[in-house]
Amino acid sequence: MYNQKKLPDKILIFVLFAAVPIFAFVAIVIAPFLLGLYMSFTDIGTVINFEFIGFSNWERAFASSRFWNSFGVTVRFVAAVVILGNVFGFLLALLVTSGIKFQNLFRAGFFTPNLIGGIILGYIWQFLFLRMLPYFGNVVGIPFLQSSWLADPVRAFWALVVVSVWQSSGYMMIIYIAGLASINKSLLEAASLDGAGYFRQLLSIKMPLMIPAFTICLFLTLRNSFMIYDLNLALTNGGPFMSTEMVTLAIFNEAFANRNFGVAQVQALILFVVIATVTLTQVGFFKKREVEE
Amino acid sequence: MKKLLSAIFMGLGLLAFTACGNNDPTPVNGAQGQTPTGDPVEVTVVFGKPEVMTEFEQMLSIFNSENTQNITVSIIPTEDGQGVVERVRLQYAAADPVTIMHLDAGFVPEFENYIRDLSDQPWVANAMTGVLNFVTRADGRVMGMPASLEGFGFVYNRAAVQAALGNFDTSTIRTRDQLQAFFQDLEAAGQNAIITTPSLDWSLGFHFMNKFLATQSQDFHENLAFLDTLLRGTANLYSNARYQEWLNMLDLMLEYNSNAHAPMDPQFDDGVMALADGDVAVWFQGDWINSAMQAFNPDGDFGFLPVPMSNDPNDFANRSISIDVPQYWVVDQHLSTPEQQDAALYFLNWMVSSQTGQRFAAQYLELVSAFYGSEYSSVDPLSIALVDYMERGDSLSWIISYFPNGILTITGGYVQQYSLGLIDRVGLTQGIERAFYELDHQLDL
Repeated sequence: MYNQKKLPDKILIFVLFAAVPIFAFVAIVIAPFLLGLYMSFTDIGTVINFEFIGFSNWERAFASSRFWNSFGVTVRFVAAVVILGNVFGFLLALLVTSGIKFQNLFRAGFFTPNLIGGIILGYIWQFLFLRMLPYFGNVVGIPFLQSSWLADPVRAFWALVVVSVWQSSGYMMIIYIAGLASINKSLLEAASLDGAGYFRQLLSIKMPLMIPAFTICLFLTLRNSFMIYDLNLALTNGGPFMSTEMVTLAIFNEAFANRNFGVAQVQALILFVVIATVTLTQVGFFKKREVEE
Repeated sequence: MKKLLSAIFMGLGLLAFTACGNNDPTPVNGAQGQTPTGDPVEVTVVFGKPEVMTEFEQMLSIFNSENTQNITVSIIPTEDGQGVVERVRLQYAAADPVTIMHLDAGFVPEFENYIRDLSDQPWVANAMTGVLNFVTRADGRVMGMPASLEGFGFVYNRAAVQAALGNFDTSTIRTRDQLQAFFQDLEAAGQNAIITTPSLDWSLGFHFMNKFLATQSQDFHENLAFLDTLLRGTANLYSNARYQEWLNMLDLMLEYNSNAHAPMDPQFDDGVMALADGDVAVWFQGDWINSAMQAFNPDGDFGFLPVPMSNDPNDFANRSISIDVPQYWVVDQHLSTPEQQDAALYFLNWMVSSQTGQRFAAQYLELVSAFYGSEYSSVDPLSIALVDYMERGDSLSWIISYFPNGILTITGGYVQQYSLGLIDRVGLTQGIERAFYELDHQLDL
């Protein structure tokens, strides 16, 4: 059905399949994006009236130390989650494909955290960090568990990392399992006949052949942890004293708490450019390293 | 984030677009203007207390059937309490305004040019002292009608105090030293004195700050002038006597804190449970905690204790709690017809002057009347105490209503750091001064 010869037929087929998605994409992504760009040059506070104010939102956005602090927190968070999330995801994938008992049950179990929304997850873990862990710490006598993790800047940051890794590693595991499953068994047999041990096979055969899985997993963890908002809001809400306020939450607060919509809009555009640059670079970098069997 | 923001504005844009198409949902028969009262008038209202919406609807149906002016008031639904101002913005963007709006005080200035002066209304003369401060303009215009009163100070559990100290009269606490002695006596009797919750930035980093700003002088305008020096960066907080007293009080609250080993741990619910059960005797909070505490302890009896500042028993600051108006009723004049505006004013008057209106407001809508001589009083002890303080004149206006947007996260953060011992008095003071100056000058922090 894709072999239409005449132009009207081609257009008809295109419209039939692509018009609705394109309309949706334009309406909910492109149009708001352009509207946002337009807004960033105005002093919009309410929808009632606003004026053009040139680049002053841009100056204020770049001058905002709260924004750049939150950016720093986000970069540290991204680094921690990308590394730990993928390491754990990959190890879990190896574990549940190694042929241990109940491995399908484990797969389902490790994947489950992903099915819980970020807000719910945040509140569940908030309960754990605020009540269960301090209670446990006091009973057993472990000093760093005796007070709430969420009340201390360093531990609150790691609390976010822990929950985020816990949530994302199951999803990454599924992708890594798919990557492992796609490897031709004959290659592994040939390697073991040649005397390659488990780790040699892993490093020289499995991992190079799984590069597409790494590309996807790194992209997903990078993007998701740059754009984390719900977990940040529900678990710490940026506290204590804004030490865990990540960039999307900072932008939201700039807009809706400080009511500087234009400035927040500029900051959102900066975030967009950063995420686009980082993820495109990463995907390009890994694409070049993909190998064929 | 970008998507969310943009989606909201896109949504608003689309709604404005579509709403303009069929703009005239409430045909007003009296809009021709020839006929006086008697012709049916329909007005719309938004109400920001979702928890009592059913009762509000009941009150409206009584009003609609009983009023002699042929007025029908109908509710524009909002998603929740937060939704009111969004709804109002949306209706204005669609040129289809709500006539009667129940707005958070902080949002009233945003609609300043669209709402009506109410200074000619009969209830103005009957308003309690200070409750119109926030909406009164220099030229005498009054932009809103107080919808209710809220107040905060130390809330104490009467049963816990009596169990520890017998028939102790809390009104004898008139100085800071007496408060300290009270805390010591409680602890000596095996009763935790106070729970202090710096984790609630809106409490200690915002509400509590009203105490040193509203007590600079007994004149409201002088307090505002002091706030202005803070906003302009010319105030020297550290040398200010009231501010020093405020710091001393903060120290006292942290010293006797029942959770002093981990001051940042207790959250709002912990405070509610601790105070309701009598686990602690005192908590710095407001009358809004009453319903939450009743859920834990239906027989609980709670009262207010002023936060004392100085050691002078006659100091007005030591007997006052901060009481002001959290929400105002405002009336649109931008697009509502004169008949609709008159109907709205009639309805607002009916709410504060008729028996039915007063009874509903006090007993079902949990709105503490801001007017003298209301025949019905609220049922909960904290609301009753509020009215007592108001009538005695022992109330402080909320200077915090004039704070720059978004400040409480920052000032709250400094109080949190101070409570953990991460910064000292100087650090806290510099942080607060900087927050005011920079937020007011929109130099983002």
